[in-house]
Amino acid sequence: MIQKKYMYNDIRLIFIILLFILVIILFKISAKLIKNRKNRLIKEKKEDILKFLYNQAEKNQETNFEKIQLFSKLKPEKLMKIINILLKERKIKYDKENIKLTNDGVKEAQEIIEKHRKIEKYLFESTSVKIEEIHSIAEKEEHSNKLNIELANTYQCIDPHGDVIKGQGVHSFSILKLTQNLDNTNKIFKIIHIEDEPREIYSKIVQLDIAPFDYIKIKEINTNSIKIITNRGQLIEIDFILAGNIFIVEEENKNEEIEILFNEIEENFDLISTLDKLKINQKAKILGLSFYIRGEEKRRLLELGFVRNSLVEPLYNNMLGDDPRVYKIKNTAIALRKEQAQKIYVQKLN
Amino acid sequence: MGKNFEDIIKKAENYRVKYNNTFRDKIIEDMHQQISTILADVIQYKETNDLLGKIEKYVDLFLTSRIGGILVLTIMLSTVLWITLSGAGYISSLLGSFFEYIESGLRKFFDFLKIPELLTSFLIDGVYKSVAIVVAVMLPPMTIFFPLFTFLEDLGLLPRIALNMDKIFKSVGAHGNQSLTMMVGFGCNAAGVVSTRIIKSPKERLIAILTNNFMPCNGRWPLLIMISTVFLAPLVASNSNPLVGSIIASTALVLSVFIGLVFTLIISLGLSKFLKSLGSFYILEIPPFRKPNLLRIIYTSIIDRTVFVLARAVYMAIPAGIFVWIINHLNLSKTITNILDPFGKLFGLDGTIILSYIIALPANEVVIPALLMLYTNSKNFVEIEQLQSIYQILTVYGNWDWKTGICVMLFSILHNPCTTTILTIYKETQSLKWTIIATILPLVTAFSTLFIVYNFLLKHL
Repeated sequence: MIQKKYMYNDIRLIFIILLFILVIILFKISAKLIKNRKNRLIKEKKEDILKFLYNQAEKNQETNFEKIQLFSKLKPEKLMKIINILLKERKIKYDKENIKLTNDGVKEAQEIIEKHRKIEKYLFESTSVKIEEIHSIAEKEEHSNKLNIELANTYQCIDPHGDVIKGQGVHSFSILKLTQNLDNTNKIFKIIHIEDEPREIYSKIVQLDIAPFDYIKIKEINTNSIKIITNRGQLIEIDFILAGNIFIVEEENKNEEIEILFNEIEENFDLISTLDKLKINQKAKILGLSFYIRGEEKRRLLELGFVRNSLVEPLYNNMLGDDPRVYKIKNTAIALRKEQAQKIYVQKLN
Repeated sequence: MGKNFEDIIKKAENYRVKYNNTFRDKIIEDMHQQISTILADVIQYKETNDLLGKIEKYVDLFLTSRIGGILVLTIMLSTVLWITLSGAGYISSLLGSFFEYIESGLRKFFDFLKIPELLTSFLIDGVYKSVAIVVAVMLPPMTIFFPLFTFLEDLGLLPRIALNMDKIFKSVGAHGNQSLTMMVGFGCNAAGVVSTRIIKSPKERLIAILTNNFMPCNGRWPLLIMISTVFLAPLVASNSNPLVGSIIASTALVLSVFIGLVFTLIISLGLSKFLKSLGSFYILEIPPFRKPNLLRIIYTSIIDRTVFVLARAVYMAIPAGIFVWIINHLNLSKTITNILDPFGKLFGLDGTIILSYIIALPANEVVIPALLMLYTNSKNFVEIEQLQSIYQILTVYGNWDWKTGICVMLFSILHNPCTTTILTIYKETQSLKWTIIATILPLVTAFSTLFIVYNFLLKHL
């Protein structure tokens, strides 16, 4: 009886010790987790500040402590801590009261921006994440150390906003906002960058189907909007608010191919339309797909023959209306939804 | 050599920058152009103005017209389901007697080997019998349903139906092909989940996988039919008038499918709102009509669908059989039902119904046998053919009335997928998270719907 009692005590003792060890282990793990999280947050802030400084330098603007504080929304003490770390790592330096990047800092900032663009490119090409969400996801993922293998291997050099991945930012070029070229009507420009922030404006630009590397011709300027023709033959009216986020460049030497294209477009302007607006059995020739048809969807459409100069013809509607509709292309019948047909540009044939 | 290589890389990179995103398009455009010039020389297309082409065009126009579309869809579905259900019972009883014959043989063999009584009982009553019953009830409907469905698939009819239904599914953020996966779901939810591979965009595919369960599969039809015939039909029609009774019963059945459809759409809408950061696309090839290939039909329906589902069902039936055997041998069933009873009463069910649904996790087909087993306190699954005797057992031992009938019917349509389907969902999504959601979501839907319907509606009638 007594023995049994002792045994119980032993078991209790062992149990308590085990519990104690467990508590210590849990404590250590949680401490480590908290520390990791803190380190990660500091790393994110550090990288954000480097990026900010880099962008400011590209715009040729001076940056002082207050500007950084306004950008990062940190408390002054915390920001001071991070800036001290950066100073110790020799990534930034004081130039009187302004803060500037050192060569090391520039290098790191470029790496981060490159990573950001790679992620955006990957999301754009290989996933079905909505285009408006791409920037915010990339903004988060660029701080993580482990970059997807698939991502690291993509050998693509231009991100979805038109920037060269391993190149400089948009502000370093001698380029213009669409609003700055108001006197140049009937001249051809190339869109080379579309700003992805703020999101609402970007999403509106996407809806208008204006994309990087489109050629545009300014047709008409009103009090608060601009009318342009794109190289797909669309007449689009853009608000000044939107136009301010579109960056264009004038080509140095004359590009005859593009001029011929625009002449053709203006000759056949009435015949150009999108696939969804065709009537049943109206034959048409495909001019091109929208930039925002991408990834798997684009691959499928190209496979099926939705390429320039293919002939296409709406065959019949479905039971409930004209969405989706069946089209005949290369002797096969393919059903497409309205939103997709809207992004396919065609020229009617007689 | 090395320098040369680097030059090429540099050149390629310059081209990439120059042609940016249109690089790939240009290559494919060129390929298409070259192919079509080559084809123009070697292939001659027959003029499609011949009679067959014309007929095909008119058939297409008819199928996609409002009247034709609805007519073909209803006739097709009801015919397939009718043939399946009327044919399945016959084969099922044949299979059942075959398995009984084997069972008696096995018993003799075990006796001959002098294997202890307990082990014999465990192996035969526990493992063998549950596997046999699952195969006997699951196999026949599938061997009828899937060949019929594959026949329609091979004919080229199904893509046109998917086209017709797309607008409805688009309005809830899903894909038109989901209508096809739902139809496969009538046969078997596990096969339905596999068939979602025809949906190429990931978001819509996930929605189709998670909501497939709301379509009553073959295993649930017998229960739905039983309840609508013996509990709901007599409410309106007297027993002496069989025609009115059968009309009421079939209306109740159609209504239950309709409820499943409504829940599919609601849950799809919720999921597509939840997954809104993912985009979607819809490209559907409409194949020309063609003569079905008998060999291919048999291969696809038997090997790809039936055997595959059956193998998983057997795999999941063994642990369930062991569970039932343990419950029965330790006489636990009464205790468990008593524990579950107050919980079940909240939803208009009772403890026995919930326990029998737990037992029927591997296959919905065994719900009725399990119910009868638990109510009659027998040691094994009880199979009764006559609906009237089932009705008597349920009303006498289980105190069922038409309200319980409606509750069980609703629960049957909305409850969690069977383990076979869950396993399939895991294999298809490769994600534990979505598998758990696919299990919990219908269960929560079922219980909350039942709670509302029973407490605020049925209780007061």
